[in-house]
Amino acid sequence: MKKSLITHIIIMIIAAVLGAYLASLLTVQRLEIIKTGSQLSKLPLGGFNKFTSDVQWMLFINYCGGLSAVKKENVGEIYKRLNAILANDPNHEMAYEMGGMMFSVRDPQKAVEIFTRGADNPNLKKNWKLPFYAGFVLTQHLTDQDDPERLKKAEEMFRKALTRDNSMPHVFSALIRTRAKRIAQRKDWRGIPIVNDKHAYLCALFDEWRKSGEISGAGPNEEVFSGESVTVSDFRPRILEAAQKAKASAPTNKYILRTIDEVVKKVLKDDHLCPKCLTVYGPGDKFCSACGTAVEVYGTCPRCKAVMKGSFCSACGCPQKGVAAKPAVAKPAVAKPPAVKPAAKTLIIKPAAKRVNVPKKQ
Amino acid sequence: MKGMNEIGAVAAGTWHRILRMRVVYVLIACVLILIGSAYRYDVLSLGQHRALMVDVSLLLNTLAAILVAISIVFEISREFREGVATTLLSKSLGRTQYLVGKLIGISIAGVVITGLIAIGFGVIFATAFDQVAKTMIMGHLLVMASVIPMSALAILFAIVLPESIAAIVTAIVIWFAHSATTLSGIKIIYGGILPDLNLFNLKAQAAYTYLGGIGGQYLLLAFLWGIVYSIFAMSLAGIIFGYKDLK
Repeated sequence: MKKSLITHIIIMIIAAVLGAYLASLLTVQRLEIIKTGSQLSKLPLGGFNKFTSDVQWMLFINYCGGLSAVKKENVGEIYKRLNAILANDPNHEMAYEMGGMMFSVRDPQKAVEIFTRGADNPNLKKNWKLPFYAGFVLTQHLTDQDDPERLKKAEEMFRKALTRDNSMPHVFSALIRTRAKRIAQRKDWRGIPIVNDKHAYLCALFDEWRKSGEISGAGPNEEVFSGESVTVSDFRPRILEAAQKAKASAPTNKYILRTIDEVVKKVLKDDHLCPKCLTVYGPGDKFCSACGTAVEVYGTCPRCKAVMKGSFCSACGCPQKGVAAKPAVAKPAVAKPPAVKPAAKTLIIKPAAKRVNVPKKQ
Repeated sequence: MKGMNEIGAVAAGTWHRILRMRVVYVLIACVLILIGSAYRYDVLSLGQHRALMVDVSLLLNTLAAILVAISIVFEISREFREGVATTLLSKSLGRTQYLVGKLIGISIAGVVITGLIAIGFGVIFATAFDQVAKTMIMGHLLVMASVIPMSALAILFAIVLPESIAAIVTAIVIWFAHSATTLSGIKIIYGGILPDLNLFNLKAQAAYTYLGGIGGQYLLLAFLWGIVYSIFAMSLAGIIFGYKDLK
């Protein structure tokens, strides 16, 4: 009996120690799996928190069905109910989305708080809507929309939304608009004074373009976007449009021209742009189709000035620049090219009115 | 080897007796009807009925596991009262062997009942929605594994306390062992001496399949913890039972 007792005690101690060890291992693994363990309600619900949340959710829907609108009187009750649902189930996506939407007009602060909580939930890291809505309410619904801290937070939220799903053009637009607002508030962009909103928008887009990795390394003191960069497919057309609008807003402003110059050099270096309105023109074009300004001609045969379609001129057989020249076997088809200045020469801006002097094609 | 046969005989007697009861299957049918009824909550839950069905199935399966575990309290008390235990123990059967036999028997019965509920849920879910996700299966397997430590606790209290009090205490302990997450940070005591049944609770993960998987390693470790904790509880019960007078 005594021997049996000792055996039982020894087994009990070993089992307790081993059980404690296994439990500690499992607790760590469990917390890694659930991720939001710290946010869970501490109420003793027998492990049925999720089910309790489901019941609370259905009661909440019933409650909301009885409301004519979200008013000052019921905001507190709605918030309390939502908090109870989210305390028992921090992964309830719909509760975040619906709850935040409900508050967005009557109590935007609470809406932002709920959206941000959802956006920061590691289990909902694929949901782009929650950070987008948070940023949207921050920039659109709050009375002090231009508060720098609020704008910074909104920008973070839009960026978070974009890193989760970069196929949303409206999210990208919202991000750039917010960034532009911040730049306009600062009134300075890398030593260049900001002239107007369009200028700020161009700077914001250019910053984002730099961030996206096409140019390596911004200077150490240059404030560029914080967080991860995003990938947006129609970057260049957007930058071009922004540059055009900025120029149109103040055509002679030296700061805008400086910014545009930098943007064109780095982003639009492969495009041929009208020096006046920044419209892209094609090979052989002598004047801008948008404003009539004379433009630097390119893509024409150096001999006959016909538009080059391949490695050799289809009109006179002359090789394109860079292609090894072959002896011409036939005479040029065109006797004399029209009097247009060669492409190699520097840009000459002529007023649109002088177009009448250009010889017409037959 | 002889001892093993005796343990097997006690276990077989226990699980045969429980699984022969028709009421068990009526209850399983009721549970499955309740699980299926979650499908009708699509409007009331604003389209959350899919997660609701998974959650209801896990809730009812856990309740079934708790009821099976508590049933052993009444089984042991009845055997003491009717003198069946005395008859059995007057033969070569040891007291610890008797307890281990009871634990194995009730665990098998519990695993069969919870397994039937899990299979029924799988059929209902696949019919109503689509293929059952791995996390849902893992969630139900964890519930099935939790039968073992819960039964061990029930046996321990059945030895120590009178019948009805033992059942109530078992239910309360199981409830709090699922709830007291804050205590899980206390080393040795929680998980070693006090049960941490919350380790078997990953219901939200099962309901939201996108949250991330429950690995096979976790399931295995949880099952192992259940066995180790049952050994602890059985050793303690064995010591107490050794000093208990049987009429």
